[in-house]
Amino acid sequence: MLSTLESNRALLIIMPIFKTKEERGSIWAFGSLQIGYAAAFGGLAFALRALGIGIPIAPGMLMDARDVVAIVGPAFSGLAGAIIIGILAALPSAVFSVQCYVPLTMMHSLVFRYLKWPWYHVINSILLLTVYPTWWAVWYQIFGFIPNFWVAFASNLIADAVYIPSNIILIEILRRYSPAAKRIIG
Amino acid sequence: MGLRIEVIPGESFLHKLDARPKFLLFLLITVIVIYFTDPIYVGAIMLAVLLLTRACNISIRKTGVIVKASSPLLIMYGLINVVLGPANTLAAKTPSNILFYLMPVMNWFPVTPQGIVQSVAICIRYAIVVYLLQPVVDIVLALVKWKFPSSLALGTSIGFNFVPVFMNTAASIMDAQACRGWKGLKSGNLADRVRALPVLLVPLFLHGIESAQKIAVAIEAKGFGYNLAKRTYSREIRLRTIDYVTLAVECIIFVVSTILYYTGYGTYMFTYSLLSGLRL
Amino acid sequence: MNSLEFDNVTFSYAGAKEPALKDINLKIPKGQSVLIAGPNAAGKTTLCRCMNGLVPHFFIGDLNGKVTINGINSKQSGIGQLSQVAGLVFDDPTSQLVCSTVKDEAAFGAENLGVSREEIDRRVTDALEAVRLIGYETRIPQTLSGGEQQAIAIASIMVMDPEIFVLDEPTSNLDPIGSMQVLSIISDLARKQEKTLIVVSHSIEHFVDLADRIIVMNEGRVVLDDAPKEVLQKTEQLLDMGLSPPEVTTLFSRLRAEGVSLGGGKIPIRLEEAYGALKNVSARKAPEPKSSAAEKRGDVVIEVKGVEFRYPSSDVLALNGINIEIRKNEFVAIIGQNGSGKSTLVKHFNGLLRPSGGTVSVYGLGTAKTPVWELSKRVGYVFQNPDLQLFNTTVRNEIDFSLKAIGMPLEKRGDVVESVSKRLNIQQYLDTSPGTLDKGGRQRVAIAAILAMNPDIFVIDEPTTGQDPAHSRQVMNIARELHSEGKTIVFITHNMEIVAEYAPRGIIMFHGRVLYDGPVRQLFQQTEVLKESFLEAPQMVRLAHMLRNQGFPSTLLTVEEMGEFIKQNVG
Repeated sequence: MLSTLESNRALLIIMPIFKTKEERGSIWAFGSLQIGYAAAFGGLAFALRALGIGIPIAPGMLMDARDVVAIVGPAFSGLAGAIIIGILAALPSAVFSVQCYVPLTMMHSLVFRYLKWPWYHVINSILLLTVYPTWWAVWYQIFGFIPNFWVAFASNLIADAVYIPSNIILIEILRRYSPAAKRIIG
Repeated sequence: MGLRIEVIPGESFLHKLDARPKFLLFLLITVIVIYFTDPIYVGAIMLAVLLLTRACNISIRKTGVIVKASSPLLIMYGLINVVLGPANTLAAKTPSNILFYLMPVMNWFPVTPQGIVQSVAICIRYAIVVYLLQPVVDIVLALVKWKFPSSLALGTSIGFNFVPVFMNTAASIMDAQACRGWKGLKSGNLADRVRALPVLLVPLFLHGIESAQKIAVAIEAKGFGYNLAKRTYSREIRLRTIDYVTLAVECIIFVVSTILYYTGYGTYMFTYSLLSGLRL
Repeated sequence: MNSLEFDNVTFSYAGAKEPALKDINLKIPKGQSVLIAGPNAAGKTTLCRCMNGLVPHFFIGDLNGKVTINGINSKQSGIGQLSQVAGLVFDDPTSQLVCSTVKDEAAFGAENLGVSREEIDRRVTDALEAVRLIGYETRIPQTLSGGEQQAIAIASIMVMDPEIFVLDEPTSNLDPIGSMQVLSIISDLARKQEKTLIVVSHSIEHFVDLADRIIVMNEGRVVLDDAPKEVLQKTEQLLDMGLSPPEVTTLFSRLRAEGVSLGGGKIPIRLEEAYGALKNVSARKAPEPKSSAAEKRGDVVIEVKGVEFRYPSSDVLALNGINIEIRKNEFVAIIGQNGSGKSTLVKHFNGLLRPSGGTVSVYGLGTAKTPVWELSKRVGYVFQNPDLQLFNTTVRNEIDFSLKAIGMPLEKRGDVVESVSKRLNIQQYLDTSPGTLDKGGRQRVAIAAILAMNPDIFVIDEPTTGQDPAHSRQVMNIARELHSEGKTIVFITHNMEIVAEYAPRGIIMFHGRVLYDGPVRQLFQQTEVLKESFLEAPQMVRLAHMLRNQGFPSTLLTVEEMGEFIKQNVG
C-alpha cells in the first residue's frame, strides 16, 4: 500500500514536468502555420531592432527587445521555424550574429516543446544565466570586441538577467489573454 | 534612429553579381577581418570596402549612417580593448612599455602603445562588420536561390518582407499606448522600464500571432506544399562569367589571408614595429 | 456541372460551442456572380474557406455534409489541388502578400503548382495587364497602396487560372480610390472572363449591378437566396440584421411602410430606378430641411495655424499650410483618401506628431513642447484597431491602466471603472480577459479605457473602415451621445453616408491641403471639390440632385430627410 503511494507520488512529480506526445506533436512539423509563425516572429525581432526599441540599462548598454522575441517566438514555430527566427533576429546586427542566435533559438524551441508550465520558465531562466552569456562571450572573443572572456560574460549576464522577468511576464500575460497562445505554449 | 534596409538600385558590378558570390564576398570580408589584428591590414580592408562601395555608385554617407549610430559601442569596445586586450596585457608585463595608468592612484589599468595599436584595429574591424549591414537583403536572396530547403528560404524571405509592416505596427502601438498615458520605455527606473515592456510587446505578439495565421492561410490558398519536389522557380538561377570570376578572386583572397594569418603577419606587431622604428 | 455545391453542410470549428455553418444547401452554376452578405459572425468567411478546402484541411473541425468544388469533393482532396480550381482573396491587403517583388508575388501561386517558367511569364504579363499594373513588376508589394495590393492579390490568383474566384471583403479596408480600382477589376472578371465569382461584402450598393444573385446569411444559415431585385425587396428584414441596403431601397421601403406608394411595382434597387419613380413628382412646397441654425459658437479648443508637416524620411509635405479652428462641442468629420493627410492632421491634436512649421494649440496649450501623455488628458484618441492597445488579463485592469497612468488616486479609480463599463455595456466582462470578447466588445473596452480619462475632445480614427455597418454605427452612436453631453468630437472617415448622417461640419482634405471646411449640407454641393478628391456623395444627395428640376432641394442629406420631404409633397 505504501509502496504504491510512493511510486504514484514519484510519477506525480515527473508527469507535470514533461509534455505528453499529444500536447507537443511532431518535432519535424513544419507546415504553413509554422512557417507563418517563424516569419512573423522573425520579422518582429528584426523590426524591433531596426527601430532601436529596448530598455536602456546603463549608458551604452541597451537591452534589446528582439531577444525577448527570440526567446518566446520559438515556442510557436517549432524547431525548423526557430532557425528562421534566429536568422532574422540576427540580421540587423550584421552577419556575425547569425551563428550566435540560431543555436539559441533552437535551444529555446526545444525547451518549450518538451516542458510544461512552469518548468519551461525555470529551465529558460537557468539557460539565460549560463549558456546564453557563455555563447555570446565566446563569439565576442573570436571577433575580439571584448577580449576578456569574463568581462564579456559579465556584461551579457546583466542584460540576460533583465530578460528573465520580461519573458516570464510576457508569457504569463499571453497565456491568460489568448486561449490560442495558451494552447500552443502550454 | 533606425535602420532602413532598402535595395539600392543601380547597374554596377555589385548589382550584376548573382546573390551567391555576393553573399560569399561579404562573408569573406567578415572572416578575414577576424584574422588580422593590425590596424594597417584592417585599415586596408576597410579602404577596399569603401572603394568598392564608391565604385558601385553607392553613397558612402548614406550607408555609413549605421556606423555613426553605433559609435557609442565602437568607442566602448575600443576602450575595453585598450585596457584588456591581449596586446596590452602582454606588453604591460614589461614596465618600460607602460605609458600611463587609467587609474593613477591605484596603478590599475595600464595602457601601452601596443594596446592602443591593437585597439584601433578592433575599432576598424567593428566599423567594417557593422558597415556590412547593407547586404542583408542579398543574404536573404542568396538563401532562396540556393534552394535552401524551400520552406526555410520562403519563411525567411516572408519574414524579411514583413519587417516594414511590423515596424509600422510597433510604432502605432507605441503611439496608441501613449494616448492612454503610457510614458514609454525610457522613463522611470529599471524596474519601471521592465514593467513597461509588456505594454508594447503583448499587443505586438498578439499581432504577430494573427499575422502568422494570415500568412499561413495565404500561402496555403496559393497552393504552397502542393508538390514541393516539382516546384518551379521563375527567377533565373544561373551563374555567369562575372560570378565565376568573382568566386575565383574570393578564393585567392581567402587563401592568401589564411597564409598570412598562420605565418604570423597581420598582428598588431606589424604597425607597432613600424611605429617604434619611427620613434627611434 | 455546377461550380460549387453545398449539400447539407454543417461545420463547427474545433473547440467551438456553436456550429459556424448550419444546414447549408447551395448550388452555384458556372459563370455566376454571387454576392454574399450578412452581419458579423454570420459564417460568410467560413463559407468562403470551404470553397477551396481551407475548411476542413487547415481550419480543423467537424465538417458534416458534402462540399463539391468543380466536381471534386473537398474532403478527399488537398488544398493544393483545390487551389487550382478556386482562388481566394482576403480582406487585409497587406498580410496576404508574401514575396519581395510584384512579379514574384504574381508568380508565386503558379510556381507552387509546378507550372513551367515560360507559361508563368506569359500568364503574369496577362494578369498584370488585366489589373492595370504593367510596369510595377519590380516594385515592392508592401509599399503600394491598398487598392494596388488587392489588385496584385487578384492578379496572383489569375495566374493560377482557377475557375472560381472567391473574394472575402475585398474593398472593406480600402479607400474610395482603391475600391473603385478593385471593383473595375472584379467586374472585368465577371463580364469578360466569365469566371464564377463569389464576393463577400457589406457595400451592397456597389455590387448590385454586378451580382446575378445575392445570398444573405445570418447565424450560420442561409436566410435569403435570390436575384438582387427580389432579395432587396425584403428591406426591413435586411435592416433588422444590421445590413446596409442601398439608400434608395431603404427610402422606398420606409415610404411604403408609411403608406406612400409612388406607383407600385418593385422597390427600386438602383439610383436610376428611384429617379424613374420620382421624376413625375413635383414639389409643391419646398421647405428647406432644418439646418443646424447658427448656434452659439463655443470657444476655440483646437487651433491649427499655418501648419506644415513632413515625415522624417520624406521630401513630400504631408500637410501643406493648414488653418483650422475647432470649437467646443462641435462634431466634425475629416474626409479624404488615404494619404490625403487626415490621419496626419489629427495626430497633431494630441502631440503624436509635431508640426514642422506653424503651430497647433489645444486649449491654448502649444503642442510642440507638451508630451503626449499630458495632452491625452484633454484629447482622447480612439484608434481604429483596438487590438493595438489591449494587453491586460482582465477588462478591469485594462481600464484601470489608463487611470493609473494619468495619476488618478486608487480610491477614485474603482468607481470610474464601474461607471464607464456600465455605460459601454461591458460591465459583465470586467473580470474576464479582453481576448475572449468579439471585435465589437474589444472596441468598446478600448473606448472605455479612453473614456475613463474623461477628456473633453474625442478624436476617432476611421470608425467605419473595415467594419460591418452595425459596428460602425455602434461607435458613431457612442460619439453622438458624448457630443450631446458637451464633448467635442472629431472623426476621420471616407464613408459619406456616415458623414451625412452624423456630422454637421465636414473638412475635405486632399494631398495635404484643405479643399473644403464648412457645413456638410453645403459640402455635398461642391461637385468640383468632390470630383477632384475622388469622393462620391451619398445616394440620397445624388438623387436629390437629379430631382432638383422638380423642386427637390439639393441639400437633402439622408434617407429620413428625403422621406419626410416626399411625404409632405405627395399625398
